[in-house]
Amino acid sequence: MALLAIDTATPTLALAVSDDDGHVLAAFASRIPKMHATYAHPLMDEMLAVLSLEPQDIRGVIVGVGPGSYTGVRIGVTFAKVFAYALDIPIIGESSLAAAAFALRTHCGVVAVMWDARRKSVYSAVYRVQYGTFQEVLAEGKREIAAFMTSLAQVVQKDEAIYLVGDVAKAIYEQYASTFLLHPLIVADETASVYAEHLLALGYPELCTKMQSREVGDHGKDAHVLVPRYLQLAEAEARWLEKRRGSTGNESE
Amino acid sequence: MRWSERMKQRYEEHLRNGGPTEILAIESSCDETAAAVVRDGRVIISSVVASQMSSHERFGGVVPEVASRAHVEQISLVVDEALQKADRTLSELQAIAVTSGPGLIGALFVGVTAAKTLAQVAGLPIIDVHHLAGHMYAAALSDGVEPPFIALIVSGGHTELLQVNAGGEIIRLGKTRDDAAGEVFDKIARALELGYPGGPLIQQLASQGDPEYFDFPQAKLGDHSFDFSFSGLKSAVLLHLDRAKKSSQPLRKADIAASFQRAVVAALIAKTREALLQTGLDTLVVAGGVAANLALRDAAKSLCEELGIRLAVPDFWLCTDNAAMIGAAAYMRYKQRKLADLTLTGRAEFSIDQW
Ligand SMILES: [Zn+2]
Repeated sequence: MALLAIDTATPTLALAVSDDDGHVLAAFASRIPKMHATYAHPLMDEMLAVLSLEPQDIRGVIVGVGPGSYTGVRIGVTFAKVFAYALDIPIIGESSLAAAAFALRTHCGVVAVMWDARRKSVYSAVYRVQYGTFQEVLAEGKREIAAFMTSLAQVVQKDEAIYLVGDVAKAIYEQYASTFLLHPLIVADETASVYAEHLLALGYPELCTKMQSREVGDHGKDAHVLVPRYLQLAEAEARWLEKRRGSTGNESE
Repeated sequence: MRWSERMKQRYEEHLRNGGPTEILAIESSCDETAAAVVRDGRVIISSVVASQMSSHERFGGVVPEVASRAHVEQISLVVDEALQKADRTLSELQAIAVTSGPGLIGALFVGVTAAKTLAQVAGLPIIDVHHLAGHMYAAALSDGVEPPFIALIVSGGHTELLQVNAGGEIIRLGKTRDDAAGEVFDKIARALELGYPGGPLIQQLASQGDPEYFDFPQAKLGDHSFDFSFSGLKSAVLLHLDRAKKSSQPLRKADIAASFQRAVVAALIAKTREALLQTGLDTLVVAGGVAANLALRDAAKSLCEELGIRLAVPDFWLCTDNAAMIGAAAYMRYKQRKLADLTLTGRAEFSIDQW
């Protein structure tokens, strides 16, 4: 019996399989952007074959629901929800940002995750890690870089180390090093990446709770409502709402 | 055991032992999330279409990102409903078929990913279906037609004239060089301020107009080409509208719609007639969203009566995007051992003669 974790929200395609206790049996990551749709299934097939497992041996799924690349995240979410539906097993979605930060959970300080969201903005969140404990201190959001730095300055405590994680970490380090002179400021990862073993570790407690609390046969239904966390409206939709707000505003005048 | 081994065992066993072939098909290339179970390429056991029409209507056209998001929300529900209505479980089926292109790439990824996952879990073969081949084989569901035939496929994104040989091999005789016929319907409908989608609205208005009132031009594309062109016709209608609006004359909207529709149909039928005469084939299939247009159906009927050949047109509800047509198209491939594998991916551009 085994558990599956998958994340495709970043340029890294990440898959992991663990045993029922959450011990990783196999983990895979590749950084070939835009190939997630092609390779997620063959790699999964390979991984299960190496472990002498069948898809039917998987008892629960953890999927990274973004934020990240819209197209990318949809591949992992579709994969995971259809997988869970077809096998009638529980599924949970976890923040891809949190999963990236979870890699540093045995450190001590705050982890600021920031992935390029274009136009000087980032998908971002801040977590506090203390030798294994993990706590969100700034909820995930799409923010302008400057605003994110202001928020980061507000949540960080005196002398606390700041770990920068993400594809804009280096650039931000260079620009903001002087702002955080009183803190150890460390670029911990310069890529936007999620590794599925971290996603698995992050989601494991919640998945276990869910597996134990539900009647068998009810599980597959959760898959239907699982959707990516885009953190923003589709552009056309945002413009349409804007226009409508404008026109109803005029009407009420 | 790897998927390929599990799949091959089942597949070979089924080909050896015979029995009905029931395929679960998925279609997500544009703005419909659809799934269906089809038996032997002919019988629809279930067909479910979740239309996003109402979410795109306000934008005056399909917005790719909005479509992709809706597909993710709908996909497992639609598959589940198709299986429930068919009263089948995955393991009772013989294959999973899916549209891999052409279409909106983000939308295609959702369907293809879902199909590969279902196939992987259940150890079933995957069959890759070209969207236009799906439209064409919709006629098999309504009429039982089998190749060889000439197929005229007309939709919002495509206008193609195909020769389909007895084994299913497709030779593209002609295509549109600019706008697709359905696209021109949409554009003219917008210019006439009718709304979206344009096809049914133009048809409705045209029924009250005189198709001979205006003589809009038809493209002449050299002597032997089977290609279509609608941009000249579109420009002529738009120019006429422009002038009419500036003058004080009343706008003869119904006559414009009727005359425009006649010109499109005449262009489509002229090339189709040539193709039938040249190949000597005795069956015509007219398919795609625009095949729901009554003027086109009537003209195709007259043509086939005149030439003494058979006409196969899908039922109205099978002309627009659905998954049953994908299941119908997949059947021949299943029999011919043309299977895809787990690396199958979406293709925004996908020429039908590459299928
Ligand atoms: Zn179509």
